[in-house]
Amino acid sequence: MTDASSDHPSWKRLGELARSVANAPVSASQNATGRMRLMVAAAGARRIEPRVSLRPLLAAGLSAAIVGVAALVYQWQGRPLTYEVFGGQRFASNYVGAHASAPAKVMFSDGSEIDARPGSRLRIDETRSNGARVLIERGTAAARVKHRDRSRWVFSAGPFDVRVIGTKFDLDWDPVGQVVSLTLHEGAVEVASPVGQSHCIVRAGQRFRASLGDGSMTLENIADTQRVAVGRNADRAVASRSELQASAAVELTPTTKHHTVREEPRRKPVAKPSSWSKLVRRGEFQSVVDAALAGDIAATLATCSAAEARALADAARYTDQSELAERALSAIRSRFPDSRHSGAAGFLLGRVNETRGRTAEADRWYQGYLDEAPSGEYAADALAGRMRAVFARSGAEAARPIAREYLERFPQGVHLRMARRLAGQP
Amino acid sequence: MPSSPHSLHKTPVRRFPQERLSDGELVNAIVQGDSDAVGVVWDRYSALVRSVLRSSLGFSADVEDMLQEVFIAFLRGAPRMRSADSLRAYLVGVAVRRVMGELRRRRVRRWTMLLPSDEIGDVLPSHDDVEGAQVLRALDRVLDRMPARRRMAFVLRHVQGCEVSEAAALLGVSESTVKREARRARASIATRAEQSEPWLWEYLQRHDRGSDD
Repeated sequence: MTDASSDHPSWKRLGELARSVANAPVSASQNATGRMRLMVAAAGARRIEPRVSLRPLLAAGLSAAIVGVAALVYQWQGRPLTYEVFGGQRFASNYVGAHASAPAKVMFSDGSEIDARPGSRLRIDETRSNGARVLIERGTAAARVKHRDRSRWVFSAGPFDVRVIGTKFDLDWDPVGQVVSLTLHEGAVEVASPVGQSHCIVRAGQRFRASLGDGSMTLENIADTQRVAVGRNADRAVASRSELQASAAVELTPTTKHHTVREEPRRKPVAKPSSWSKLVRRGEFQSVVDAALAGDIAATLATCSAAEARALADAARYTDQSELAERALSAIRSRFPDSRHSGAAGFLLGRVNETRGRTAEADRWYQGYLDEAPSGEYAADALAGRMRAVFARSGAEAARPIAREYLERFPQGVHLRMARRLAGQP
Repeated sequence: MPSSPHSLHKTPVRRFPQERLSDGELVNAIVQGDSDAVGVVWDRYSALVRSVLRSSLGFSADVEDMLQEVFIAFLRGAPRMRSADSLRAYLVGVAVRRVMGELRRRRVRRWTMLLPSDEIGDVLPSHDDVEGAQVLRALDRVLDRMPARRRMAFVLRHVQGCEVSEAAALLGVSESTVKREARRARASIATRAEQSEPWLWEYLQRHDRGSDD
């Protein structure tokens, strides 16, 4: 047992580790942005009259104060965002143009920011209490949108609408070439395509590019430059995120809606799968993922052992590569249905789906695991996973029977608190 | 040749660089409405306050917002500061109070929305030290289950390296309370690590034995 005395080396080392990360410097641009936000706030604060103490008002009557606060909250929630423009020029009240050699910055009252790169021109079409609509007339806008409850931001680039909840991205529109390019740094966005009825989800680390000229759309994984290229009328295929890591490129011809699969040249794995388990034990998760992605992943998963696939799945999960983890786990399920790895893979597929917000799929995998191994080593976690998934999808009432089952089967389980709440027990 | 009075009059007067002003002088300048002094205070203390917020709340995007709130609270409170030279302690004190409030709000949100503890915030940015990242994620999960005061006692003592007296002043409690809360936090971390956080447990065990590997 670790000594609880304050000067013990283990606490000292733990504190040093935490401090080293907490003290990590931010980028110069992030620091400059923070500094500028504060300066803007300071300039605004000087215009604010000294505040009146609320205490006498509270003493005058609690009910009046509640009504007042409620009115203020209502007013605040309904107030549209405001923004300030730094640098560049304003052609009209809502136009922002960056000079050819210098950027312009738009800072919104909720902390969201847009950098118009040199030569770019934006139009703030509309501001609401929970977001804004911004048109990129030309050039590149680097946006950092603050995540808020019910936030709703739309960036329009040509005929494309990028719907944002909270994220960081670069959006470029070339009105002459009719090409839009979107690079996601954080979060995820939905791109409404002018072709077809469906939407395309673009996630962090991906680049979306569409050309109206040749009717092509491309979704590219920036890290490994693997591509899924699709043609006109095929944006539904772009939305198929599971295909991003595929080694086969999916190509659709403009004239037909049938697709053909074209094999890419086979590539050999860089690091042998036989070493993956060892690398995972050493905590070198990224090395495993890099090695797998550098090679022909489909061929590797078709030939590697169950333990190697499991090692890849673990490495992918630990590095937040859910799609790769799902592929590796699915390979275990299909190739080694009778091995000890298969059951665990089923449970982990539940986890991966839950992480990706696919609660119905998660519930199905958890239930499958419980059917296969009612007393298996993950049974408690699988039941808790079902509890969460059903609660997320159908509410507390639907999750109650599962919570009761959990309490009955695992009275000392680690998810007791949640189970008790859902079961309505103290 | 001596300069004529006229040329002397035209010699520009260089402003004393604000970066070299003391904390007290900066606060006085801010109270007088000098906006450049605000930037100097930011340059001088934003990294420290960010570190306190990160070590207490993890690396969620909220940290940068809260950092702004701390400095805005300072701007509003500057005219009423008792000792302008205690700017560092003032800013850290505001940060600690904000963190305590945020931790309590998170608990309420978690309770009312039935969120599992690991759904709150990103603990770390991308980090090359995979084991270290896992250990700190585990530590954050464990700390997340503690009462706000206990968590902050641990963070101030062991992560920020505050003396007991300093931590007591920041938390507004006695020194014996800080010692007791930090001791309970350590015991709780050790117990939880052994039960459910293998990365953290292994790390503590390894350094418990004095090994540096």
